[in-house]
Formats: sequence, C-alpha cells, structure tokens
Amino acid sequence: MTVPQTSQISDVLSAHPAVLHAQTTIVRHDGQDVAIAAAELKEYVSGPILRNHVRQELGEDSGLAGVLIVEQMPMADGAVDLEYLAAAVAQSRCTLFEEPADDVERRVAAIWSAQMDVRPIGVNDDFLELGGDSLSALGIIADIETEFGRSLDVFEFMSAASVRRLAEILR
Amino acid sequence: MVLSVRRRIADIARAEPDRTALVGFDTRLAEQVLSWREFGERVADAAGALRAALNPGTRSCAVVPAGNTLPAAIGIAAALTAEVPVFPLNPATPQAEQDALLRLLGRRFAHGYLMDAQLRPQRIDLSAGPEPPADAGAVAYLLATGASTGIPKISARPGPLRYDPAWTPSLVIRQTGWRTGQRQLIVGPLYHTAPFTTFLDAVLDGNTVVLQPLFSPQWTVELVRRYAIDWLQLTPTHMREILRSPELDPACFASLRTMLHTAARCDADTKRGWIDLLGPERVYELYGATEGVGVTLVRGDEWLARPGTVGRGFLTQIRILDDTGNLVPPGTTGTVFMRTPQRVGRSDYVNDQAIRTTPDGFATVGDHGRLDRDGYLYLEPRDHDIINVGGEKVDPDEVEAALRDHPAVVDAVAVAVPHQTLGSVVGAHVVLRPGASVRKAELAAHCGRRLAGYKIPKQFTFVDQVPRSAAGKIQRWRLAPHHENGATAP
Repeated sequence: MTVPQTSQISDVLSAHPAVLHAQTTIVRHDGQDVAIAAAELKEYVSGPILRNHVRQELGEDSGLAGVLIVEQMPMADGAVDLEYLAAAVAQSRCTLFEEPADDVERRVAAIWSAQMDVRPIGVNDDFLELGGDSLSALGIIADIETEFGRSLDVFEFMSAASVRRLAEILR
Repeated sequence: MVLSVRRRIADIARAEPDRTALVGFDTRLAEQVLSWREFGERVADAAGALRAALNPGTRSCAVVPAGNTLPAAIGIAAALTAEVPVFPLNPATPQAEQDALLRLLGRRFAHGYLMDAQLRPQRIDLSAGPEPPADAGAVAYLLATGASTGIPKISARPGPLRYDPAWTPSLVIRQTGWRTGQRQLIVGPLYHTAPFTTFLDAVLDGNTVVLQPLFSPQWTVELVRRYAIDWLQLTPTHMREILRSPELDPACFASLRTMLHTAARCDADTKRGWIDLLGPERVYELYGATEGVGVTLVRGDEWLARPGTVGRGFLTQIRILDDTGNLVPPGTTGTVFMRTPQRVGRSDYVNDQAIRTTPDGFATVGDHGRLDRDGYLYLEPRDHDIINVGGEKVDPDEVEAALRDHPAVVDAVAVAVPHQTLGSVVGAHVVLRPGASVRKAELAAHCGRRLAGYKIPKQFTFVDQVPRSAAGKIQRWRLAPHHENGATAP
C-alpha cells in the first residue's frame, strides 16, 4: 500500500463545502495501520461520502480507510487525539472501507453502485450514508430479485442496510 | 416526468374533465360538487388573483383559513400553483395564538395574503421586526405544530412543491394501499399536517376528495358509504367516537381499502375495535413527526402479533439513545432517534427550536421508546406527561383508557394534581355521554377494578369537552392550574 499522505487528505477534506475542518491520522486496527480522518461539519454529510470524495480527488490509492464525523475535533496535547480515533474505529463508529470478499458481495455491490451512481461501495457502507433514497431502494430491490431470484421487501432491505448484511441474507 | 402543480392540475383537468375532483358542504351542509375541469379553472383564477396581488421583491406567503371547505381547498391549491408559500390556519385559533403565529411568519415573510372565502387575497403586514433573512430558501408550505406542548411552532417545508410520479405520494403512503384516482374522505382539518399532506397528494394524484366540514361519527360512516370511499385517514379520537356510534354497520365500510391512523397514540381497545370492524389487513398506523425526521408503519396483523408497537422504520433507521448519547440495547427505553434519506426535503423551524440531531445524521423530536429485537418500535409517554405519585410513575394514557372504558364516559384526561405528601396524585377531567350521570365514587371503583391503587384518580372534574388539538392530541397544558387562555410569546 502506498504511504498515505495524511496532510493532503486533510486538505482535500477541509476544502469540501460541508466540512469545517478535518484532521487525518494513522491508527492501528486489527494489526494494520489505517488512515482515518476526523471531520467537523458545517452541514450534514456522511463519512462514506467524504471518503469517496477524497478517493475521487487523490485516487483510489489515497489510502484513506474512513472518515469519522465528530461534533468537536478530539484533541490531546495539541494534536488530534489518536486514542479517541482508535476507540471509535474499534467500536465500529467509523465505517472502514472494505472491498467485497466474495462473488455475492461483488454482485450486490455492483447493483448498489449502478442504482445509486456511487462508487466505490464498501461492504460495510450504510445505504442511507451513501445517499440512498426510496427510488434507489426500489431499484436495488428489483435488481436483486432479478439477479438472485429471491423476493426482498423494503423492511428487510432497510434493516440490512449494508452490502455485507444483504449478502448474508441472500446466501 | 416532474411537473409543476399548475401543469399537473391542468393535465388531470384536461384528461378527465368530468370526473369529480372535490365534494364539499356549504354552511347549510348542502352538498357542493366540483369536477376536475371546474376545480382546475377555479384554482387557476385564484392563483392568478394571488400572483397579481403580490408585491414583487417582497417575501410573501399566503394564509388560508383552512376549515374543510371548497374555498379552503381551492385556496391551498391556488397558492401552491402560484408557488407562493402557503400557511393553512385554524380559523378558530384564539386571537392571542393567531398573533403569535403571525409573528412567527413575520420572521421570514414581510407580507401575508389572507385568502378570504371569495378567494380574494387580502394583504396583512407581518414584519414589524428586522428583515427576514435573505438567504432563507424557497418554501412550499408552512404548518403549525407543537399543539401538545402549548408553544406554537411553525415548520417550513422546502419548495416549491412538485409532482413527481415516483414521489407522489410518498412510498410509505403508497404502501398503505393508496391508488391513483382513488376516492378519499378527509375528516381531519386541512390545517393539520396529515390531512393537509394527504390532500396535496390527493390533488397531485387525481383523487376524488370528499371534505367533511365538521366531525360527527355517524356522518363519517355515512360519507364513507355514500361516496364508496377507498382511503381514509383518522385520528384515535375519531376512531373511538366512531366505534361508540350506535348501530355501527361494518357493511358501510365495504368499499374501504385503507384506514390509516396517525398523529396520536391509540389505546389498545380502540385499535382492536377497528381491527375487528375492518379486519387487520385494512388497518394501518403511521408514526412520524411533522418535521420529516422519519416514519414507522404497522399493519393490523403485525400489531396483533406485537400489541402496542407503532411498527418498523419505513426507509428509516431507528436508534434508541440514552441521555449521554449512547446506544441502548433492545428492550431498553431511551430517546427515539431516526434517520431517513437526505433527498426527502427535511423541514426546518421558523422558530429557533431546532430538532436535536447527532453528528451522523440522526434526529429526534424528543419522543421516548424502545425497540424489540426485530426492530419494532414501542413508544413510551413523554416525560412531561408522566404523573409522579410519590415516586410511582403513572402513564396518563392508561388511566384515560380505563376511564373511557366506563359506559357513561365519552372522553377523559388524566392530569397531575398537587398533593401535600405525595407531591402529586392523579386527577381526571371527564366528559360524560349526553344524558348520562355517574357518581364520582363509582368512577373511582371502576378504575379500581382496572388500575393499581396509586393510579386511581383521587379527584374528578366533569367537563363539557377535553381540550384536544385538531390531531386528537390532548392539550394537557390547557388544563394546567394557572393556564391563561393565550399563547406563549416567542
């Protein structure tokens, strides 16, 4: 993996119209170093949308795994609080980007991507956080019925809310 | 294809000119019928008059006294056609409350145009204070909310309103058996959220709308039968009174595909009564705040399997958070936060009382509740309604349901009454059936057979009516000991 340019990532995020300011840092998660940004907002925008924005600006190898939306930038000793961010990641409060792990996840992610016109889609990304709405929900449900030959209602779909959990239902 | 309101009404009027658009009743309760051609013409005329009256460059809104009358319905449609923000006003609002509402409108608009019964716009100068913020976005309509707290609030829906075949009506309303061109009876007043928004959907989706100008349970049943109504939205108060009407014949509801209830908590007896009357598949309940935070839906058969639930989030995620903002496990009560797609226009307040939000986009209007393991939501009474009897918490709904169970009682409200040693005890305001009489001791005994001792009302007051908002929510603040008949100034 390319060494993430944390200051570049922070600059791109801070230039986003919805972001007040952002700080990027490396935290240890599951035995790996991952780049996490914390963003304080002017208006609501989701972590996955900001992550995709960075990927669009800096390329897929930007290395940014996730953006944590914070009410106030967590600071410790004049720098962004690493422990706070590591804890947020450990408690799954920050969605980390993860590629589909198998064929079912890949097919579901492709359907989401086509219906929502969003890419990339991580398997843990939340449907609403990616900007999903009732139209794309219906489109995804219809495509899944065609692709997997299994009917799915809107409640089932919304309670799954991620590619990974939806794939679990479909397997 | 996305269309303006003007274009959509014109299209329906051209396609089906002779089909009935509106049925209303004049002050002598004589039936008035407008075809889609006539409705289209009258809306276009009123919209033209409103546009001509506007002062260019001045932020203006239309104020429509919104009883369930043909002029009110035409006035609302005309303002939306003219793309002037419309505020449906309860014509019976006491002067002090009306002044408070107009002051709130004045924060955003300099001029209001009151649409009179002849649909002539009459200018009202709203803004006595500073100029409304120039950056405030376009507004489709404004609705008064906050009826159960007593502090008037106005919620503004971003606009202008558009017809979009994919969005009109919303998916959740379509889920309740709504059909394009259906016959709908509107019982609740047009100045309240649910009747107002279903009226807009009805106009944009080519319904035949019957407007009941004042509520009488037998008349509602008769209108459903006479006009072969398909779709009906009621409040729990309407539901209770209809169930109590003598010689209620289920055959009158043969045409009805949907009875949707909203707006206030429905007690279990009333809910079961309607499920018995219509069958569980025709009874729907929707819980959602005016503010467009999110919505839950439950059909009668699901409710029978989980009595008391208001259903699962419909395109809505629900989180129950404790006072420090942490997620609580299923079964634990906390504050109900919801999240719904961003593209749905979220309303904002004209007042400063914004809804509470979390950094990740969840919002709450302050309701308390819990989720079960399958994601079904159960609401608990709001903190300020709970009566604390020497440390024991009493849900007023439970006491009220017990009282209404008495054959002589039509309606009841339970309130806290100050008590020297216990802090407070339960008091009851009771409305008796016309001609009925009952001793207070008998009511207490009746409650004693249903409720624990501390929940039994220690004080009974017989009243002519219980103060309720148009939505059927009890206005407990009107029963507070030192309530003055007016609104809190903003």
